[in-house]
Amino acid sequence: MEKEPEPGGEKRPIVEIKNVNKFYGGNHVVKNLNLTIYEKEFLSILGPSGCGKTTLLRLIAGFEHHTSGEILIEGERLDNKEPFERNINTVFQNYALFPHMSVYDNIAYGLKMKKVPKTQIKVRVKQALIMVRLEGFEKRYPAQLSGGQKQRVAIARAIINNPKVLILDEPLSALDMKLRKQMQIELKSLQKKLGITFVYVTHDQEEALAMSDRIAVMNNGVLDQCAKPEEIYAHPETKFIADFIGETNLFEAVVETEEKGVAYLYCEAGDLLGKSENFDPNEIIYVSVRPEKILWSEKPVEGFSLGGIVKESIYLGNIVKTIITLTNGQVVKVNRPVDSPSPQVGSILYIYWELKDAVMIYTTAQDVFKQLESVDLSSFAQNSNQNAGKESANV
Amino acid sequence: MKKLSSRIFSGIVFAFLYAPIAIVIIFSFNSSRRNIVFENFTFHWYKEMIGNDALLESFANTVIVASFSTLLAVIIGTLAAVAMFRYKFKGKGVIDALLYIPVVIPEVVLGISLLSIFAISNIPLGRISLIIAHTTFSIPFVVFTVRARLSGYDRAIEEAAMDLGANRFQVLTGITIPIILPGIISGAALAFTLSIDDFIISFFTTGVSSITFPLKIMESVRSGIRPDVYALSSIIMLITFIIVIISQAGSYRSSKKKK
Repeated sequence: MEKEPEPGGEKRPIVEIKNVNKFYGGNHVVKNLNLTIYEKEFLSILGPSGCGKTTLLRLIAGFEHHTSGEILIEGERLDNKEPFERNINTVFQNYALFPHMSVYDNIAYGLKMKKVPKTQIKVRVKQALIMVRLEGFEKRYPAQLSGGQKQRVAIARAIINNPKVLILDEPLSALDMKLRKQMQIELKSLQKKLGITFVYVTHDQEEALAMSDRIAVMNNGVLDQCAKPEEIYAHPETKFIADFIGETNLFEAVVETEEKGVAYLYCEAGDLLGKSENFDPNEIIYVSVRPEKILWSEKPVEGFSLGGIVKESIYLGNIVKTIITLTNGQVVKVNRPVDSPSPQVGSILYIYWELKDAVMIYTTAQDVFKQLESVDLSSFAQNSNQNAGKESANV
Repeated sequence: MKKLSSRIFSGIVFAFLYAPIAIVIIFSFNSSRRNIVFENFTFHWYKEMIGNDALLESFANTVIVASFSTLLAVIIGTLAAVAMFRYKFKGKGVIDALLYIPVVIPEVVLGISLLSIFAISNIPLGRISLIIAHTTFSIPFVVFTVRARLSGYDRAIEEAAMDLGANRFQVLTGITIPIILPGIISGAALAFTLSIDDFIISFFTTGVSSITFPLKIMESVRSGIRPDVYALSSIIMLITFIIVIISQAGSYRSSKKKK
């Protein structure tokens, strides 16, 4: 499930998460999760809200304890270590600055707790302020700062402690678009400069693609895929990722035959082609094709019979998005740069794609069908009164 | 025109509020024993007051009872407010509603109930019973003010402090308490003032040896108020006035800090 190309080749693992589970009462929030985070990398944990990414982060930071499995930092288990005993710092979603302390005291707090001499604190706070470009703000209070400035204070307050790992929990979500883009660039360059491992939690896929060395995509408590941004975008391993990262067109299709690397498929709207990946006959799969990779013609192309009508053309500044409705009602999105041709609204056409642009995604539906075939339904019928038919059959 | 009428109106309001107080202060300097006409200016009653041991003792009693009951109410009330903010537990809603009862219940009823409790549990009436009684009715006010302060409190702040290396005790003393301190202070101020001028509950729960200032005044009303009571009242007012100015200056400063 999880390939982990080491970003620099010989990088040292810094956080190792092994078979970690977390339950909240009966809720299974993090499911058997394995993830290795390397030294000096920028790793994003990406997923929709409620996918367990914040819980995972809280497990690493020590605000929550995992139910089973183990988390190691530099090879050392920290299951029962309190947050203040871990060499990890966090930048919180809503900054969580101390409202009753000045910027200086906020940033100095970690060093004061470590009983660093005052003169040294002064020097290091100054350096941290320069690092986040907030010189001269020492005496201000958090309430006197803008969102972006608060963010910088929160970052300075964390990095001043020279943590092994800096965790950032959706740090930019409260900022406006423009400031967010600017902070993305700043954070990325800061990470390079400091050489600290950043674990960046976000639900914004664009942000993750722009900033990360690797992206770990979580869905419903499960780590779906962890890979480089290009890899995730070009070769999503699950339907969820294909859908979640960037825009895509998904075709639920059945395998007819495979020949010379080509898979002949059909779906509700007609025939289509994909890459051969040793499917079973009649296996149900998903074909994912990015909107910029969809091609069209007036006549059906060999192997394809996906006809549709062009419903709408939307101007988006740099691209034109065309909406095509297929014969079964499925909507297909086509993106083209403004200066290249797009399909005419109202025209009837056939869509196709090049084989290399089709990403083949396995579905679990096939496994379910296989399991269903092997189920002996007669034993169920006999024990229909019992809740667990299998167990009672054994008795 | 509009300006003038609004000035007159606010003048009336202020006169309504402060005229009775002004009269007390003025008559504390009156050489006549009767407080109907102002004769001559004198400090006589202030001297008299210093010689009036019973009066001063009642005042000392009041301050002692108010201080201890405020301290107890602040400790219990703050802990209750923090617990109710932080934890979800069974019966929280009930406790929440019950907190209002000492506030809305007629003081006479509360006074009688406390008196019977002291009688049943053999607690002698005196300073101790007074302190317990005053603590009882002060707690809800502390809980309310501290909770109001906590309502905007983000628990991530405590997590941030722990994340930066503070242990639980350091979080409490360095983060939580300083942040809710304004709520604690205003709760304490409320509790203190409520205790100082409480008459009804004190009337039921006090003993012979622990007459408080309001009780003393009430007692002296029967035989006619002597101007030395005015003198002491004026001094109390002066102290209150100074406290209000200090606290206002403090909140002005902290609101400036926020801007």
